[in-house]
Amino acid sequence: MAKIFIDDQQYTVKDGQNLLQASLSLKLDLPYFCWHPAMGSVGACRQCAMTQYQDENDTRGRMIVACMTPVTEGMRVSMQQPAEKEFREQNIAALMTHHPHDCPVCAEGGECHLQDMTVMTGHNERHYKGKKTTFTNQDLGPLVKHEMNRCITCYRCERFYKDYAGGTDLAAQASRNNVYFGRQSDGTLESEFAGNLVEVCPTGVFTDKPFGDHYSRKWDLQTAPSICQHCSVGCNTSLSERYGSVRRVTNRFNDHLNGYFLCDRGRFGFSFVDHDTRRLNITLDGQQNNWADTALNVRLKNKGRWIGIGSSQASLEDNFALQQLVGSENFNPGLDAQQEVLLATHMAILNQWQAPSLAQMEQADAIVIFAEDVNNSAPRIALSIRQALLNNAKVQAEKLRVPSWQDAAVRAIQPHHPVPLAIFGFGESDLAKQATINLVCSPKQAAEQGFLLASMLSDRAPTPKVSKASSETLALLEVLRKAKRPLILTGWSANNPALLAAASNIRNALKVHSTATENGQDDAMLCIVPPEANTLGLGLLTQNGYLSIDSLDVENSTTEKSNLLVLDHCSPAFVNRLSKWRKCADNIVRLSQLGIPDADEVNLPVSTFSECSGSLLNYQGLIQSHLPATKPSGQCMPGWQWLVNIAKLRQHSLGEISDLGQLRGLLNQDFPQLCEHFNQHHQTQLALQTPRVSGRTAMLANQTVHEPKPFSELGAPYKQSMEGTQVGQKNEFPLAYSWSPGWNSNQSNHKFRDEYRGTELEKQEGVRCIKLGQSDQWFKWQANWSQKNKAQWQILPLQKVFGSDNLSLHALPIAQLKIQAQIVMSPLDAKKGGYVAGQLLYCDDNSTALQLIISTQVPASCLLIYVPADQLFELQHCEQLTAATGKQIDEYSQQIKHLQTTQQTVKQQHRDKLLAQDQTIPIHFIDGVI
Amino acid sequence: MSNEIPILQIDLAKQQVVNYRDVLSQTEIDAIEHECSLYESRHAAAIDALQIVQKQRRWISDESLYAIANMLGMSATELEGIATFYNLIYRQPVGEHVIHLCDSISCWLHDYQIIANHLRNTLNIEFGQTTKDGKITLLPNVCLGCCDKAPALMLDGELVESLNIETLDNLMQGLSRGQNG
Amino acid sequence: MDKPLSQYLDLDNPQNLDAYKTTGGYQGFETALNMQPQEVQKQVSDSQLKGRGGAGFMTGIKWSFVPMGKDAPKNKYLVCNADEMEPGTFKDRWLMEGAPHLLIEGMMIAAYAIGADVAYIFLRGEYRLCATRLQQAIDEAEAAGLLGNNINGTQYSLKLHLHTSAGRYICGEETALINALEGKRANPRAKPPFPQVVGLFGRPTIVNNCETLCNLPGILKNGSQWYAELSGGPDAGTKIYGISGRVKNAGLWELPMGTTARHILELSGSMQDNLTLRGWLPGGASTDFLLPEHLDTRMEYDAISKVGSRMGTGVMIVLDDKHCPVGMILNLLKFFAQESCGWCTPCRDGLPWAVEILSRIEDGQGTQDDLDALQQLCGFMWIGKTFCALAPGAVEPLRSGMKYFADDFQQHIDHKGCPHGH
Ligand SMILES: Cc1cc2nc3c(=O)[nH]c(=O)nc-3n(C[C@H](O)[C@H](O)[C@H](O)COP(=O)(O)O)c2cc1C
Ligand code: SF4
Ligand code: FES
Repeated sequence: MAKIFIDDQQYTVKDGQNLLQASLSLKLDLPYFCWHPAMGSVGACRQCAMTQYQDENDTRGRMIVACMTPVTEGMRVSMQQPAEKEFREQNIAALMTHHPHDCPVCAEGGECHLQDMTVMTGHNERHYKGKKTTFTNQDLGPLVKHEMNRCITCYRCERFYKDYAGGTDLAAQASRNNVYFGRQSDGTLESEFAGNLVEVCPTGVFTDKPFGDHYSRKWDLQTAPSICQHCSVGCNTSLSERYGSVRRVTNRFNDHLNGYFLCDRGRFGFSFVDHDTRRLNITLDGQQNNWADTALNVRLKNKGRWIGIGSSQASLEDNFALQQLVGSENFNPGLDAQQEVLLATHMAILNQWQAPSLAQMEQADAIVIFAEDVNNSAPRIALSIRQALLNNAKVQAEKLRVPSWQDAAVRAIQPHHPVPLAIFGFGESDLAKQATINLVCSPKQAAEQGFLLASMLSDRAPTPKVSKASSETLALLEVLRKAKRPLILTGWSANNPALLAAASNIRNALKVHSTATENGQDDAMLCIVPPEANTLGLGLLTQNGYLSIDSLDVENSTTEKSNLLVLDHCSPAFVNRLSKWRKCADNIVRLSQLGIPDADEVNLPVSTFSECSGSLLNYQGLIQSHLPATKPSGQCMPGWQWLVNIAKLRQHSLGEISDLGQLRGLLNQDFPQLCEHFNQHHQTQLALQTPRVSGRTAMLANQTVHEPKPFSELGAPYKQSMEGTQVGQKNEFPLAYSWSPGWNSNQSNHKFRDEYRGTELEKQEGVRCIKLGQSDQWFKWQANWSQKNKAQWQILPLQKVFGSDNLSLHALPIAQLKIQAQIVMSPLDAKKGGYVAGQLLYCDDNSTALQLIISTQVPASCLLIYVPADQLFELQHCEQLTAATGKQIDEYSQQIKHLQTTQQTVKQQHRDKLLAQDQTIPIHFIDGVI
Repeated sequence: MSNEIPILQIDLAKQQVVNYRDVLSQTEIDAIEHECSLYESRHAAAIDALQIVQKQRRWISDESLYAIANMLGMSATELEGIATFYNLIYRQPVGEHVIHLCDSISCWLHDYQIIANHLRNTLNIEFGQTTKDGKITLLPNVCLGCCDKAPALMLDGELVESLNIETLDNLMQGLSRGQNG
Repeated sequence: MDKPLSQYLDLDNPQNLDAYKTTGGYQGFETALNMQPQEVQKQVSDSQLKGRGGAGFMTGIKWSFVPMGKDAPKNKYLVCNADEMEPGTFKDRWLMEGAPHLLIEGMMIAAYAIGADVAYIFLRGEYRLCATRLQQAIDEAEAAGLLGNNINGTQYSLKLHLHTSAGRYICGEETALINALEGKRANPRAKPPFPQVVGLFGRPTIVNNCETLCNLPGILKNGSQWYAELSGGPDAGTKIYGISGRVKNAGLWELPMGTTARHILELSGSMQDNLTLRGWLPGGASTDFLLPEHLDTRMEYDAISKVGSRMGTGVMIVLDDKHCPVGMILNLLKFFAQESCGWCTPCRDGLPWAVEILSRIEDGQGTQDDLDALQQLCGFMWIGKTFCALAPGAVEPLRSGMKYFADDFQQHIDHKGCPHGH
């Protein structure tokens, strides 16, 4: 800690920080542009000027820029000196000489960092008399809109895009006062983190395109704290609505998980809630129906056996209610057979090793990835790993007495002080490009090498009977022996439990290994990436047994007919499975968000995550709850509510539940570890808007002069209000939006945090649901892991950010970026077979057309295949590849063109709908007013 | 053989990727490779590479830019950021001859504007433009380091010092003679 | 008088390796090679040699920050700053065209002293003749085994490469130069870390001006004592001084450090007929104006700063009474505005703003407010407020010009036009 004096007032701040960060964390208002807590200082904008004095006797002082000045014991500075105040005003005036002052048409208006800073400096008059420069804007694709004239040249976009996120297609161009931030030519931004530019840019150069097509001011939006539904990280988001429709997702700061950044799947995937196939009505055998209908009631009251099929797309509450209703022995988690094994293995490992948060992973000093393409399966994790790659350079910088927030310096020495990154697996990715150790191999080989590695680290680890250690494994062994905080990462995407076992053994071995070393500190990390937002929720519920898919298959083919009660599922693979069971089931009842109901089922429309509360367990088993931003649409109800209603019909005890609080009470009984989370959650008063617009809103003033009551979820234990928790209070939870006095933009998040992702993060990060056991379990190599397949080609699954998550494919912006099916082959195999990149191929007699990519990151005799999640593809291996005929190619191209035109129409329709809504603000949104 | 395989007309790669061997000459490739060998990283040769290609082709077209980017293993956008930073890299076509007229202080003190106006009138173009016949491009340049012999210009890389209307006319005549044969 | 630099100079037909050697060339390097690198550093420190790139920092002290010894990083770099783009400055070109081997020898000495194994000459692109002559000299030296592996049978190896830049004044700023050599946009880097520790490609690097390096062979050959005694004053050695503008014979001369400005003016034959001296910039476009009354100032670092300017490159520019000071300052500022790298706000947006105002004043559209605004902009871009020294340098002629030529400014406003008819 350091004692410093700001305008003669004494403060104690953490040393090593820069003065800007220290001042902001003291809640002082110092304007800035180029600095960012996650990206460090570069000193470009010069906005954060202060005066520094040598000692008490120094009256003149000299100007410094705070972001480049480390705090030191006893330092004396001033923020109030007229000279520096004037400088700060001049600086804003200068950087706005070319700003178009077009705030009315700017989607950023009202939450603009530039506006905030301008007010803060007091700059209120334009003196520059020259002409303004005008730039041409670029079409950067469906997600991000470009308006270069608003640029104030703070370089943050480039630094985020290129340095932080590793994108190569956005950079500063030209020079002097002509600097231009864009691509070489028009085209969709390639980085899956491009959407963050919207929040990183302090003004309106990069804006959210889908939102901007019909934007609202921040003060007209109501915002709820939400959780991203599109992968297992569970990034915290703010979900905003206007007039009952969800308009956008922005990042909700969480120091432990997403920090300041989301991936584009999360930012733009939410609009699946507006998809054409969104279920809004009860249907019975394909016909619209209602709850009171007797035929429907008969179906729901069927006295036979009920089998429940859970879903990792549904909340913990929904799955729990289903399990309660049908009983554990009749509850199937809705996974396939291999996934059930993966889930069991994963849970066993989580019992032993707590998974690290993203903040912790960013501290790693060595990284090993076994056959998991995190860049695509959980992109936000990959972004964190990217940051960890700077750690050794930061250590080196500190040795040279350069603070680690001196971003450019750290990056300059990074090449000579890399953090080792070992990748055992396949496929090209941003991380694979940076690997210092790279073994291109099949998941099975990766697992074998992992087992070997563990046994070399500790003789207590079981050995696999097969293979010898590769040179990469030996290199990795050396790395792991030296590393203090190694991260081992694997996941479900290769569909191979042996990988999880191998990773766990290495983790165990590292513990044994570290106890043998001097300091005995064991800070190794193990992270396993499950596929979906609530996969581990199923893990929690099925810990004490469940109905496996094998038994389900058997039972469904026996004569005794049962009823299937199916939670939300819309993947083609599941629909395919269900259609097999359909033949034998007596009666099918589905609770759906999306999809076309079949002719022989009861389909109950469920509220999406935007319309109701729910909880999810992320990859760490951390429970997080989201709150609704809007009311349920149509006849929708939360899944658990339908189940409670069905229970009522059947006089089941679950029917006694009357609200979410009671249901969670039941959950607490079974899982007491959840109490803490739910208690905290339920005591909250939740403000949907910033205090600035609190209560006295004029939102619906043309309809009524009565102040509308904020919408509150039916039976919700918390209250949505206008005056809820405010930012700046310690432990504010949940925080719906970002705001603090004078700071209307999301940069208000940068205040009040004395350290970002530092070693002294507050320990409290939430409730982990999977309890640690003491067991010291080693996995043995299983015989069935060694099974050989004689097929010509082995197929390995590939993932894509925009394509492998089915839910987000129902969101138009993501659908527009959807990548079509691909097949990847090694150059050698391509040459042998005479295949050419770009060609369209078919596997055996499968009808999916796959476009060929040639890459060295493919293990021998393997094909990497990616098929979008909305298409069915179940092959594991393949004997023969056939090239598409000219006619097939034409058809394929036609299809894609057709798709693009349809998407344009859908986009237009959606916009028209929102416009029409503006004209007639629906009075029924006002509760308590007729 | 491979030409007969039908290729889908949908862009595989999103960025402008060309194979540098299809665009650059062997001489250019060799010269660039030599520059690459002088630095710790291939990217460092970017400016040299741009100059090498520009020497051959007078200016850097999009195609050349993509080819160099491909050869150095960088993105077209990054290379564009570099190409547009340095003023001696031309991202637009220039004429057969390029005149850089010094407009800095010593030449200003020697009334270079007279020379400038004379040039604009004779060539009938403004600074930054190329004559209609594509022969001559006129560009301003910062101090050429000929301050003792101001005013000065650089014609196709050669310095011409102590300019006056007469020497300028001779120079222009020389150029047009060259153009006639 | 000894002329350790220009004694080798032949602009029409520069000495080749043999000729250079027979006149005493490469003796300095051979002396160095027989010493420990640290001893070479000490000799240069003792000589009191100050950098000739503009800032006048002691070369020996600058070198002493380079990590030496066994634990030092393996690769280190020496870079010659031959970007000479400061308007009104042409001394480095003179040296390189006239005595290419002198520079190469100087670089070899410097590289040896800091333990660098690779050296680059960063040459501005417009200096084509320099490029040809330097490359020839490098080839000769390589062929003679003076460059390459195990020079003169010692453990020391050095490669020397010529890099021709593609323009932009900012490349002369040493950290921007490093970025440019790395093939990047030439924005300056923050200090610390200093290039001596983290420089080119992240490795310890020394950037020295061309003229600075040309001084080394003499120092090594004749000793630091000799060097210090070349000048009578506090700054050691000789300096390439020069003058341009409306004088009879503009040019360059090697003179003892501390020669008066008046002497230099006289060497040029004084102002052209019918012209009177109104003011002068002592060392390039980024130095403050001085007046005729300051002509007796000795051209050395302290003496010049005492009268309110900077020595800079030591090549003077003179303003005569037929040229408008406002016009001159406008020309200078246009240069700086155009050459701003675009990194920091005051320079990127402040300089064009100043140009906009000055243009209006020069065109007779200026107001009294504009003068205040200009004054404010001077403060806005002053030392400590910008990221590098470009903008403060740009402000120097403006703020001093507004002080010394206040009447001219006022006349532009009062008479709505340029009194000099520009
Ligand atoms: C904008 C700017 C331009 C510069 N241009 C040059 C230059 O062209 N040549 C040069 O030697 N130094 C130039 N310098 C000074 C260098 O930054 C650096 O101080 C010098 O090369 C150090 O060499 P020395 O120690 O031998 O003087 C420039 C500085 C600035 C701020
Ligand atoms: S003062 Fe700023 S903008 Fe100007 S050249 Fe230096 S860093 Fe670039
Ligand atoms: S925030 Fe400090 S200089 Fe930009």
